[in-house]
Amino acid sequence: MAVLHVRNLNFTYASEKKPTLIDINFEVQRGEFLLLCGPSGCGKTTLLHHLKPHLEPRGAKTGEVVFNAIDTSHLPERDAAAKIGLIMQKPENQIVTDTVRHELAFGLESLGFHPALIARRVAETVSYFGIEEVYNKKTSELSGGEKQLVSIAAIMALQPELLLLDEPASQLDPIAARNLYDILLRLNSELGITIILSEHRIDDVFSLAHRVAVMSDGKLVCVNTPQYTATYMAASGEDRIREMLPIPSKIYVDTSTLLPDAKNLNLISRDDLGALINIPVTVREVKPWFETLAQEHLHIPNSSGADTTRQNINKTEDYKDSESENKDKLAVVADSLCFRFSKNSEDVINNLSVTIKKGEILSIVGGNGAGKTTLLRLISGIIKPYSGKIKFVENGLKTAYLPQNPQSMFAFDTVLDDLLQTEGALSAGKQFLFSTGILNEVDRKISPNLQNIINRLGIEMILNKHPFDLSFGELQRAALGMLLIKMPDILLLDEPTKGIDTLTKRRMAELLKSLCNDGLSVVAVTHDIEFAAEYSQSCAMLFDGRILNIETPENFFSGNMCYTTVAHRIAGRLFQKTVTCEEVKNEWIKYAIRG
Amino acid sequence: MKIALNTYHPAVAVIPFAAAIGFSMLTFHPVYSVITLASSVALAVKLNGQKAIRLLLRFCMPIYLVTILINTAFNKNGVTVMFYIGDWAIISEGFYFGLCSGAALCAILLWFSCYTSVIDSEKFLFLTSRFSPNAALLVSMTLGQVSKMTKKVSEISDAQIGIYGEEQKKLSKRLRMAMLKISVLLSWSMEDSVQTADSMHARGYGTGRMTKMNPYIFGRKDRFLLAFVLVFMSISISLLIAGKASFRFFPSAETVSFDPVSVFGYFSYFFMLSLPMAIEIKEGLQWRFYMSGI
Repeated sequence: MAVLHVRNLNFTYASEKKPTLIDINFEVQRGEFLLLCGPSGCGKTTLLHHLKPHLEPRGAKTGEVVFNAIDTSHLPERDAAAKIGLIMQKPENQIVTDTVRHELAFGLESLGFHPALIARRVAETVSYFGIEEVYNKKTSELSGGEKQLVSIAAIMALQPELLLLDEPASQLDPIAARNLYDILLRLNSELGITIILSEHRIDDVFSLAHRVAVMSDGKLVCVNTPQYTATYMAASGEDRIREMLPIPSKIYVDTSTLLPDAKNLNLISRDDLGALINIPVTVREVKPWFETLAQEHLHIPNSSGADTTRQNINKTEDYKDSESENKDKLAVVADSLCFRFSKNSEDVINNLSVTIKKGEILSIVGGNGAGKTTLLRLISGIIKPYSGKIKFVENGLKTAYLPQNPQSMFAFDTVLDDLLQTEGALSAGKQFLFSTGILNEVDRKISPNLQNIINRLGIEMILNKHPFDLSFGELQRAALGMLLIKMPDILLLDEPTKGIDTLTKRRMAELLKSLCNDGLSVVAVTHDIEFAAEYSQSCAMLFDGRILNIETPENFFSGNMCYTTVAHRIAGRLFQKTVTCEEVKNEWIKYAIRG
Repeated sequence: MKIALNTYHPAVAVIPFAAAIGFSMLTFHPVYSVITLASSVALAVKLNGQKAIRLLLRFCMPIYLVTILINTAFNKNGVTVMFYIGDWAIISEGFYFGLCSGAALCAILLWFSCYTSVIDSEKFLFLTSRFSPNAALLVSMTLGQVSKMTKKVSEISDAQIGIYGEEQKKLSKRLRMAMLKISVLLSWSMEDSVQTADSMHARGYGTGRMTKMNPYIFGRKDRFLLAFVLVFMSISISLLIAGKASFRFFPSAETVSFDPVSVFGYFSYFFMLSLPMAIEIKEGLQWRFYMSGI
């Protein structure tokens, strides 16, 4: 039985000419878990908002959305509020009240339930979610993951039938994200709640969903099983869609198309899709397949455990050699830094030493609360270590710090004004007078230097937009522009890949690479292992307040079993030093040619 | 430290404090002032420990001394001259008045500090929501917003240092930075609050009359406390109306009367203000006996 039915839905925002949703048709069965994916800006959020009555954005809409056989525009407001729950992207923005208790009761209170019933519903929800320990806390004390759980619990207290989630994990670290997905799975399988989850980083959820829908440029291009959708993605002519393919599937496609006797997947047109086999999507499926194929067709020897250990020892020596070699190229040497937030608290940074080389991307990975942001703030001089020293190898080396929320950098109505203000070409006073209408015109001359940066970042198109109308990736670029104006030598990035899709991530990384070629050093603290493995020259792990070791990504990730890339999990037993898809592919080709 | 009064129903727990603050404002009778000051100091120290002592030394003592000094030096309503400093007459009634009103003032401060440790914002909200759930929600949202904003402000400061290097020293530059920061904070907060509003509507806000969850239980001990408070309060109020709790300072101070009715009033006032303290001690003892009992 279909709980939701979308027919011929078209939508154009009031402020825009181009339609955001084009001819959307799909059905969601009761109890189904539907994953809605697509590159950022493809219309996922708009579509979800259309599924939630009374929250539709303003604009011209045709077509219908039918919930439980009633058109949502005729659905009584109170029913709509209780039966269809919506979770949004930013955890802190959807929290309304100051205490968890009040937050959980908020929906029920708004709908005017009897106090005794409210108390019971809240109690059962808290027990089901296992969030007893946060029940008595203030909402401001919660972590991002806890906030999302509380938000979901608050909605579940209303006993909804359909749960809509708009990129709920995009602001969370991987552990919190997995927790969130676990809860969603439970709600789906134990309570039969219908779930529509939109995500653009889909590796973790891809196999959990019953069906996966792919959106591109406002169109729904594919709704099918994960395996079939993977096939669709692999065969798609669009980069943005191919990029979304989960890594296990990517390796499956790469390796199977590069066998001498396999047909080339890239040549299959969309009409042939039906004939194609389904592509596996999890490590569990791909790993044995990969190993068997490798041994049978390419005769790659299976290495023993002893070998790996010996290699690890060698790696340490490699690392030491490379360090002495590159001594002349160091940019920053931090020695034995110690920091704590207050006199009686524990050290967050404890005897931490790190060296940053010139022209490299250094990724620092580590769990939640390991002190990653604190380390960046120390290097950038926002806070001072109580002991230890940060030495800049050359005098006058400048750092620039990109915070996790680039929103915190934009003061003006357009990106251009912010850039000009940073350059010092537009004073805040003048801008203020202009915005109040006292000054009619403000001189907005773009200096050659600024024009250079604009061209380099490719932000020409967004100069006259309001910073908050930008996508997260664009916002990040604009923020980077503001930092580059100050001509920094060391760029410090706090979670640069949080909340952006794979293609945007790739563009960002390419930009960083080109900056590094000009001699800039980039330090990125990140949860994103794939990013660290693919794009950085050095990786380090921050644990217990100190940096354990700095190595090349190959050495760093090939030594780990769990804290490593998906590619290495699949291929690591045969190709010890490969940590990215690209490397697996190259290694595979090497053997394929030889064999 | 655990505060026993926190386990009482807020509607009951609030009464002793309201009574204490009210009476301290209404009467500067020397005996009443001594009682309220003494019991507030004792309770504040019991509830807040070191924090109370700091409040006592840093705020209450200076305020008390200043009140006494100002009244002694400048209050010329009295008639009895204590002594002269040059031509300046120092009037004893002013001194007495300063002594008593200062004590009441300090006591009010201390009662408030105790009140905030027992009735937190949530309980306060619960009490006010009886009259208007919407107003209560507004306060709750504001409180939530304050902590969100504080977090944003520190992020914005970080970001500004991240762009412009170290904190500016020059005043004009610092002013400009401050203006920038406010501008960022405003647009950012507004942007975020649009989503908060969506989140409220998504959960049915504005679809009808709101109700309020009741997380508190009116139990046996609440009934007892309420009974005690009401008895002592009605005695104190009737004596106040009868004029037994008032004291004439000017033009000449009367003597403190110790007739049976007044003494009865002093005791009843003392018991009323000691109730919170009595509860703390009682529950402390009870727990100890309970522990040794098993």
